[in-house]
Amino acid sequence: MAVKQRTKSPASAQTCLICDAPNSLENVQCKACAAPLSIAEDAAAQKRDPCILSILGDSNSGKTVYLGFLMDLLSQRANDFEASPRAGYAVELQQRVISYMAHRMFPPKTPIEADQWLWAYYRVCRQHRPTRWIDLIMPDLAGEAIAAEIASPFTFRVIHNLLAMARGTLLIVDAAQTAAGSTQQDFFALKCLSYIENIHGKEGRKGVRFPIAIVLSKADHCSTCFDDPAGFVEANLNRLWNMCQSRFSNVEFFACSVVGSLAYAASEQDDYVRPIPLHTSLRGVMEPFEWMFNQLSA
Amino acid sequence: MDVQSAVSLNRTIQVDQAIFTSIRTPMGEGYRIVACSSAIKEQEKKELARRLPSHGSLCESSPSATALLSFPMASGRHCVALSQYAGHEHTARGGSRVFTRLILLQRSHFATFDRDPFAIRDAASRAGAIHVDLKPSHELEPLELVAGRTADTCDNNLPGAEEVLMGASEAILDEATCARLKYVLETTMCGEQLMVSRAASASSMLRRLLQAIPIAMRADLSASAGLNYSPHRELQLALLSGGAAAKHRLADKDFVSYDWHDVPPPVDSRFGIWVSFVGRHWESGRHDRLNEIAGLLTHENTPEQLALVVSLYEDMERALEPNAVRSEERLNTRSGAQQQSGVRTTLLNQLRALLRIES
Repeated sequence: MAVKQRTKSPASAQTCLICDAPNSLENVQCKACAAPLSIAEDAAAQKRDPCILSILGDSNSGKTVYLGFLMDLLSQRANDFEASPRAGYAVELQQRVISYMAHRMFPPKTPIEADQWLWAYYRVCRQHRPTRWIDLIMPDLAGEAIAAEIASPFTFRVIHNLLAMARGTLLIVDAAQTAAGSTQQDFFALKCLSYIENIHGKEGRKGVRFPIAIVLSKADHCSTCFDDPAGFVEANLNRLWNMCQSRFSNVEFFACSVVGSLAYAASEQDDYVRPIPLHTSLRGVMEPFEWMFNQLSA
Repeated sequence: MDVQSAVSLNRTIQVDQAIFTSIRTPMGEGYRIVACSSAIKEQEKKELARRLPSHGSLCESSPSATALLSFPMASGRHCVALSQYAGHEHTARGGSRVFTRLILLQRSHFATFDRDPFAIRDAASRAGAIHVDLKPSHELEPLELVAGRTADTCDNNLPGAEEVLMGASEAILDEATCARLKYVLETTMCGEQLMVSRAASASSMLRRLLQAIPIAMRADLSASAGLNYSPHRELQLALLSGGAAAKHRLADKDFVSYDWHDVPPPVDSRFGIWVSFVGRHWESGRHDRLNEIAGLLTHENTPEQLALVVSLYEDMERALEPNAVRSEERLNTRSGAQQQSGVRTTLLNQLRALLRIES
C-alpha cells in the first residue's frame, strides 16, 4: 500500500544545516539525518556558521567518555576557555558521562540509530585574548556507524556530511588495546584517514592540511604514551603513522586518560568481567582540544 | 464454506539468512553483520546496517523480550528480522546485547508465506534457525523453510509466542480492544505512517493486524513490533510495547502517534466497511476465518473492491440463516459488478449454488 507523504508547504519548512533536507517547523530533529534542527536556526540568528569538529573512533574506543569530560572541563573554564551550551539538549552528553562515572560506571554504549546520538553544541572562546566566539558542534557518533560508513560510503549519509563540513577531526585510538598487541585500532585508524583523505584530499599538494588530532585514549594502561605519544604511534600503530607521514601535513599526537583506577567485577552467574572505574583522574583531555582550537583560530 | 487456501502447503523455500549483533571477532567489534549467506549483496548489507536494531532497541528490558521487524528492501527482496537478547553487552557498559537473525527472501517466496512475517518466523523456528549463536561461522548456509499453515502449529514455547491479550486463535476480543485495533488497522490501510506506543502485546497485535489486511496490500508494508522507534528504520507501522511510555525521540512529526491507552480518534475513510467487517470477526473470535478471507484477496486493494467482498460474505451469511428470504435479485446485482476476481467469482458461485439449493 502506498505510504502517504505528509509534505508541508515551503513556507512552513526549515532546512537542516547538515544535510539540507526540508523539515516541518514542528520537527526537533531532521528526519533525514537526525541532526538537531535548532542548529540551523541558531546559525541564522548568530549570523555565523557553526564550526563542526568530528570525533571519530572505533566502537568502545572512548569517544563518549572523552567528549563528555571535555565538555565538562570547558564548562568549568579549564585552561582559560569559556564555554556555554547553545541549547539544553547540548548538555545531555556531558551530564550523562559525569553522572555515570560518578556512580562508578561507564556510560552506555552509543546506539547505531542516529536519532539516539547526542550532540554537543557549545559556544567557546579563549579568555584573556581578543574574544572570538566559536560555535562548536561535536556529535557523539556510534563507532559501528562510523565503521559502516567507512566500509560503504553513504550508508550513514549524516556522517559523510559531517566530515565534509568539519573543520577538524579528533581521532580516538584505544591505546590499551593497542598496547595489548591488537592491530584492530591501527586498521580502523588507517581506514578513517583514507576516508578523510577522499573527502578533503584535494586541498593541498603537500598533503592534506585538514587538522587531525590523534588521541590515544585509555593511556593509563600504558603510561609511556604520555611521554612520547608520537613515538608510541610510530612503534605500535605503524600503518597509521605511515599514513599520517605520507598523506597528511597537519597531524598531532596526544595521549589521554580519564580513569584513575580500575577494578574488575564478576558474578558467578555471569560469564563476563565488568570494569569498574573507581575514580576519575583526568589527564591529557584538554590538550588535543587546545591544539585543535588553535588550528581553527588560525 | 469451502475456501481455497492461498498457501502452498509443505512447499520448501530456500532463503538467505544473516546475523546482526555485537560480538568481538578478529575483524572488529560492535553491532554489524557478523555472519551471512554468500548471496546477500553489498547494497543489501548497507541497507540492513542502517535499519536493524542495535543497543537499547528493544522496548522491553526483560531477558525474554523479543521483537520483529519486517520490511521490503530496495533490492526487491523482503527482510524479516527477529531480535532477542543474548546476554550482557560484551564491553560491559551496561544493558543487554541485542541479537538479530535476519531472513531475506524473494517477494514471490514472501507471498508463499501469505506475506506474513510471523509465518516466516514460525517456519524458521521449526527449522531450528532462530537460536542465539554468538560464535557463528562467517558464512551461513541458506535456510530451507517449509511453508504451511501456522495458526495451529505455532509452538507456544517460541520466543514471542502470544498469550494474554490475544492468545488463542478463537479468543474473543473485547469492545475496547477491538476499537483500538480497528483504528490502527484503518489508519494503516489509509497509508498513514503510524507509531503505537504502550501496546501491551505488540507482536500479537501486529499479527492480528496483518491477518486482517488483504494480502494484496501487505507486499509493501514495513512494520515492527517490540522495537523502539527510530526514523531510520523507515517503517509505516511501529508497535512499541512496554509498560512505561516508549523511550524514543519524536523526531519526525510526519507520522501519526497513538498511545494505546487513549481512546482512538474517529477515522472517516473509505475502508470503513472492510474495517467494520474485520471488527465483527474479532469480536466473535473468528480470527482464522478472517485470516483465510484476507489471504484470498490477492487483487483486492481498493475500498470499493473490499466493500464488494464484504457484501458477498454478508449475503452468504444471510442466506444461511433460518427462514432467510431467498432472492436472486441481490445475486444479479453483485454479478453485474465489473471484472470479477477469482475470489469474488468463487463467492458468487457459492452464493448462487446456495440459493438454487434452497429455492
